[in-house]
Amino acid sequence: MTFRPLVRALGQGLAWRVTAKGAQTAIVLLGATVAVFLMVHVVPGDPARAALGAQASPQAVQELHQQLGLDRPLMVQYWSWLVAALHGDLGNSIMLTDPVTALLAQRIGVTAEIAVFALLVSLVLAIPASLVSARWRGAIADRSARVIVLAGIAIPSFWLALLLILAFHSVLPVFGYAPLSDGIWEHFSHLILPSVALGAGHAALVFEINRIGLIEAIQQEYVRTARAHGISERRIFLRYALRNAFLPTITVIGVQAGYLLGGAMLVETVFAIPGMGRLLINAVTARDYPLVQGGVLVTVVIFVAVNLLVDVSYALIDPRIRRRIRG
Amino acid sequence: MADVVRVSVRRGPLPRIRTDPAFAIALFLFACYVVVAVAAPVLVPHDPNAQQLRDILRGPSGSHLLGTDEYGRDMLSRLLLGVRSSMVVGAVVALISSAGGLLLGLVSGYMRGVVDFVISRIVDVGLAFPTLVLSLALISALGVGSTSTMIALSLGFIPFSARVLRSAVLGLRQEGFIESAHVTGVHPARIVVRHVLPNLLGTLAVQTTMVFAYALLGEAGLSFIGLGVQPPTPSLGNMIASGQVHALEAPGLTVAPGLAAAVIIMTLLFIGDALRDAADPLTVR
Amino acid sequence: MSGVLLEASGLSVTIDRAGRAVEGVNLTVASGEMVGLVGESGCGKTLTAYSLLGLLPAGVRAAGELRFAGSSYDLGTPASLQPLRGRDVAMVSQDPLTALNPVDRIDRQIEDVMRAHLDLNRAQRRARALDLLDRVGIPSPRRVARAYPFELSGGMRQRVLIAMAISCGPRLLIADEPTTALDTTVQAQIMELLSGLVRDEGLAMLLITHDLGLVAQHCSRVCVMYAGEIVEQGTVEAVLERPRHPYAGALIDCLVSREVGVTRLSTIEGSVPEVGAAIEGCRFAARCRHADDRCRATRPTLAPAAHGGLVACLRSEEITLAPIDTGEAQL
Repeated sequence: MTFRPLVRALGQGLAWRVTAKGAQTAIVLLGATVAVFLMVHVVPGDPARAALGAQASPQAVQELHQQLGLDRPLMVQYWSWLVAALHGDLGNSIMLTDPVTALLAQRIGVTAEIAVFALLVSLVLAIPASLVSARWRGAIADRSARVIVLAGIAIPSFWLALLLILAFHSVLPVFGYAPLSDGIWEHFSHLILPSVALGAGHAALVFEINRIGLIEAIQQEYVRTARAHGISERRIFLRYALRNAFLPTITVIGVQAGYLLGGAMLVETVFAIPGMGRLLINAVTARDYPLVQGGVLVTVVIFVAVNLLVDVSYALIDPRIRRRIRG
Repeated sequence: MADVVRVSVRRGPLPRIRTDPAFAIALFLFACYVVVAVAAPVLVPHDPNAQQLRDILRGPSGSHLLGTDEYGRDMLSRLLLGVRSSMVVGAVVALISSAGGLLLGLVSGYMRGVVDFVISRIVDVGLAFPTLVLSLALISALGVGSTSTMIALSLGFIPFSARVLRSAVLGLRQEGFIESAHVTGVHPARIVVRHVLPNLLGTLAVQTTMVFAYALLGEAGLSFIGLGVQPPTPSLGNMIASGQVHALEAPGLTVAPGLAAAVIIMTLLFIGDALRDAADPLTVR
Repeated sequence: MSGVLLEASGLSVTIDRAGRAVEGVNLTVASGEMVGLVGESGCGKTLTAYSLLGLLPAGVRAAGELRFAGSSYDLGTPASLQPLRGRDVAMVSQDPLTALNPVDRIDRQIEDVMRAHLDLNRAQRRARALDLLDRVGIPSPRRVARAYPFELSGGMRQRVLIAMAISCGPRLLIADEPTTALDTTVQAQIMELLSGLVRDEGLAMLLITHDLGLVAQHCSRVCVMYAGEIVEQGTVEAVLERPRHPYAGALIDCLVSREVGVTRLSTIEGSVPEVGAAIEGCRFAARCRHADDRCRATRPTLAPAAHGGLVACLRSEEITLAPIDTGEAQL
């Protein structure tokens, strides 16, 4: 009697929704491959000519043209590219001649690491700040925090990176990347400034969303109940408001994952870190289209996968959804 | 609870915004940037490309208020022209993506059915590309330059505007006056022009302002990595990049253009926020 | 009245940019007594209740003095009321569907209240939570304890909220429309549970409701509120059988016509004036059939009435309040 049978029915509805979400993700990914493919092929001009430059001999262009299979019909090219991509083969880089997959595999870890550290930095900065801001809403701390947030979003991360270099170049390493094998401190010290530069802007976004979530949560009836029962304001914020506010915040973090990845590529160039950023930028300048296609596709796949992951973890964190899936 | 919630907000949004001093300051700053963008060629004290190799990396002085760069060019002049090219990119991108987003949003939200489904899936695909990464792909196809930057960023922001405007259109369709116009047999095109469009203006203004801000960020990023506006034409992004080399000897070369970018972006974000609050006074702020 | 437990005097509530919502309310509740506070929605009952615990939302301010069990508190400083909350006074809210934290299990929420006030260890708290769930008539306490709020029906959630409210042995329960959001059959069960607590455990209760029927069944005294003021108070028998204020009379008519099941339902025409509306004279005058020029010019104050309670009506001695005649509407 206690457990309404309705919950069961909803559970089935949810299974359907999860399937729908999966189908939607598949459509998006397929569409993304078409988009990535077309970007290079529909644009007027011969990619082979573009890659080799104006001075190249017609024979050389013709050779590369054939080598890349550009003389085949577009559909055929797309299909073979897609099938190869599914097998992990994204072709060879024109300028570096190495397989794109191998090139990306070397670099992507570094970029992802910066993005993850930046995310951590942003959470460490934003969550306590949003708690303070929402707790003393309208107070000086809250109002100045909101100005700082606008600044945080407005300041380009790469420019902040330069300012950080100016400020900390005598204390922290400002260029390059040290693998973990060089020692833990060596490794992390190289990541501090890039992560802060990238994380600061992200912190502003997380702060904004979490602050609004907190303010909405503390206006809910359950917070009034908790207050009416004499539960301390501190506990109300940490146990009641934050847990409810954090759910929408997680969604925003997922949506922003791609931008963190893109931002990491920019910040990398400032610190001369050998990640995806430098690689892709050089590829774009050299019109090395297999490498550009591969890099973009991998970024999109990561982005979409992170979003799906966020959706799933959201369901695990929110008991209302978790229980329905089990039931 | 019901008793408490009944406290009604009876303030008109626009009067509140008009009297807000912070909003006035933001509008003033925005106006300054617009004036610079339009009139930079006549405002510049020096030829921005004239190199004076005996006067490189000089600090601020009477004849060069912001000093000179590594080629002895006048920083202030370059900064003014940099603002101009960045503002042009930002404005063009904001207008194109708002127009494109409006078109897609209207068609999608108004026709619904198959058309809506197809457009929505395309928008989904667009949203799966982080703007910077999409721009990289497009620029690799189009070649570097400010036109490519504008095209790439516009295409990058259209999905966002389309999604926002579609949901605004869907919201409007629920409104009584539009339903009743349908029932009384008013031609759909007329309904769109007479009833839907005027009610979308608020959302459109907010969206255009926000995209303007993010487009400026995007231009700065692309030009910074050398894929946007190409030197010697100055833009805020490529000035930060070229100043980077001399950041330790002459920090002003990177600080000034970055600051100029941050101020206008912040101003636009603030105006966008204020417009959104005015359009929807019930949102928590 | 033996042993006054709660006494609020000069209680007023002001809403920023709107005005006075509650004015000059004096309210007493004795130990073990159930007092009804009735009126239409929008007349300030809920604000009054919230102000007693310092729970008013931002932008709403209270003033006045509160004496509780011999100690005195300032209603204008909500923080000063903190020691009372949950410990001496607890509240059961209007809407059980939103009053529980959606992402926490039931037992955690009950235990959280105990954690704030009682010196018990975790196991003791857990045991007591199960005991409380049992006491409020929940059939399988163990299962419900591990449930999330969304898995329970409205009636169950209200029982959980009552369990939370009584978890630290308060002496007064403020029940704000405790049954309004519930199905009719469940309403009676919840009221039975609440009045059982008063009857068997000596709890005092302030029952806030728009339903005079509940007051007639369960309360011993009643205060009738209109537009932020108490217009009549006294024992339930006195006020319900011989109302002296036309508003109280009209409310009773509404009740009587419903109980009798007549086809024509009595209603009160018009509505409660808006908060901050500038009204000279009696605030009910605009809706009162007995109002004359004097009523519209002079504000009446509470004065002793013939039935032994208090009434705020200039003409209460002159008029007779006949049943079912205050303006009628076709059902």
